[in-house]
Amino acid sequence: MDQVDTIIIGAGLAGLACACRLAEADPEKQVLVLERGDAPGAKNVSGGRLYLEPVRAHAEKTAKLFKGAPFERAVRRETITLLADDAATSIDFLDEKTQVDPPHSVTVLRSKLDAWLGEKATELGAFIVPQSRVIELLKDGQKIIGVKTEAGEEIGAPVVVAADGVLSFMAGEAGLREGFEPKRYAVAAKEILELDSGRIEDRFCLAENEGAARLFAGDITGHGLLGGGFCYTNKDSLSLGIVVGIGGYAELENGPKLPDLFERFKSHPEVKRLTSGAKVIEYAAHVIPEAPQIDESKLVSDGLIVAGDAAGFALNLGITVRGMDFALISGEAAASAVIACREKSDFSRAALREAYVDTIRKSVVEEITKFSRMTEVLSNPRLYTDYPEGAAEVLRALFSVGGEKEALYRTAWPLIRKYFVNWRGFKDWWRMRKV
Amino acid sequence: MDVKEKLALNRVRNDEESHINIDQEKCRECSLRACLFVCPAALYEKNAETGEITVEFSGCLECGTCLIACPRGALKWRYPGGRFGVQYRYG
Ligand SMILES: Cc1cc2nc3c(=O)[nH]c(=O)nc-3n(C[C@H](O)[C@H](O)[C@H](O)COP(=O)(O)OP(=O)(O)OC[C@H]3O[C@@H](n4cnc5c(N)ncnc54)[C@H](O)[C@@H]3O)c2cc1C
Ligand code: SF4
Ligand code: SF4
Repeated sequence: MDQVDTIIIGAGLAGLACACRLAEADPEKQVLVLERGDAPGAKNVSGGRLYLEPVRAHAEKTAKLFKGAPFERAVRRETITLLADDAATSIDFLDEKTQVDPPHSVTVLRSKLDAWLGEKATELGAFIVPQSRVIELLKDGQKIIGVKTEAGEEIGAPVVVAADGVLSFMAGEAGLREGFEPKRYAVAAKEILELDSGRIEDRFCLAENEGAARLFAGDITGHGLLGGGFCYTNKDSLSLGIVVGIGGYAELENGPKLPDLFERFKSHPEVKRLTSGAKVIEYAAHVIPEAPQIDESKLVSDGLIVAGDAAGFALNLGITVRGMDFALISGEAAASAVIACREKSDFSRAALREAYVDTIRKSVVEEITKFSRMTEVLSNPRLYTDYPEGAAEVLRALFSVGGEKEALYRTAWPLIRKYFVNWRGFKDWWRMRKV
Repeated sequence: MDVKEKLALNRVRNDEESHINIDQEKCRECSLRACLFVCPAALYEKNAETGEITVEFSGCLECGTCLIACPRGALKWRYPGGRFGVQYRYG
């Protein structure tokens, strides 16, 4: 069996951050990255906005590599919109204090970004094999000693990094994940829509090269399910998508078809105005880890480290999604753990756990668990039905003139009481406080 | 826009062999039939005559939603072979 120093499964952001760090640290050690797609990024989907601030704070070396990366736009305008049936209530936030150089967050297209980071990894000395699907982990008792590819090659290494994304069949093989619990995942569908940069800037009220992040809450599904929508501006395209928790959705009797939910979202008057005249050029779908409860003992095994989505490192709060930053941070941390354990020639579970988990506890694990209660709160159907309708009705009453209009207070207060200031509203507010 | 038209925009290299296998025995006892609506590409259908569940695997977006949503573990699902499947140009 051929032997290399480290095998990385998956050339997504986690795998590539790991490869870059390892190759940079010691050019003499072989770093082999196996990727099933035609090239890094060919299989990968995100919303996508990448928060760079946590990367700079917790994965310094990776952040430095990002100079000259093909980012789309630096996000400056944030808009949250509550969609009611035929109305939309938005909070729009433009902040000149938002850092754009270096940016606080950027919009990205994964196919471009991952391919670029793949080239960086190659320049640094890592070896990426595309079109190569790993089908099995090789074991010696409990210990992972290498991988088998679909072409039948068996390759050995003292340590393997599983960065194979949300479905991580490799973590499953190693016994670190049991089955797939529907409530722990959300499905996302996304369109890329072509629109020239001038129109994007006019339509979203942006200065040149600035980006907008628009997040949609409300009854995206028409069934009060946990879900949200997004629209990000790229250089000359829009990323438009919906996210729906699989748990409640899959239990519906005769549920609505996901493509129909997408069209329902897209035909909302507000969304229609954002995308009018833009041409669909790609349709993608992907799953996102949801409500992850991270078990620190399931992040490593003898000879194996799990990083990125494969380890469940994502935070989907319905209207904001984080995962790419965690992928980069955990990828770099996995590399640092490999380097530390190599010095002691000890890739046992205990050694890897100490070196890896201790590094990401604050920046990733605790960051995610802190918000894990959030999904419970967000599963409340009223957030998607009553509240958006309520906001729309109150504003409708306030903005409309003519007819038999009563004084402002008399118009708005009964509506506010109906939708918000009542016992259920109090309970919702109380639960929200705990998050 | 119909989902079929959207799928036609994607760059895909099709394998001859399906990467999704369905255990019809299990489907017969399934009342939820989640696969028929959760798939973002609407690839699952119930054959009107035989009642069998079929999947048009060539349009698959490789998301894994069907695998996660199926309540009876009726699906044998793997990623398509290395050279095959969807290749996103944007992602
Ligand atoms: C619609 C959507 C919106 C999102 N929005 C955001 C956002 O705005 N901000 C954010 O930070 N995050 C967002 N995320 C989450 C983010 O995309 C993920 O957290 C991130 O991509 C995880 O990176 P990764 O490297 O761990 O996994 P991936 O990017 O999934 O990479 C895994 C890699 O492994 C390869 N692979 C898998 N199995 C094998 C195998 N057996 N053999 C060889 N190769 C294999 C795959 O082809 C892939 O290249 C979003 C996700 C989705 C789906
Ligand atoms: S959900 Fe699963 S068991 Fe039910 S019909 Fe679909 S594939 Fe068969
Ligand atoms: S993996 Fe996704 S796109 Fe493919 S058949 Fe299953 S649900 Fe449909």
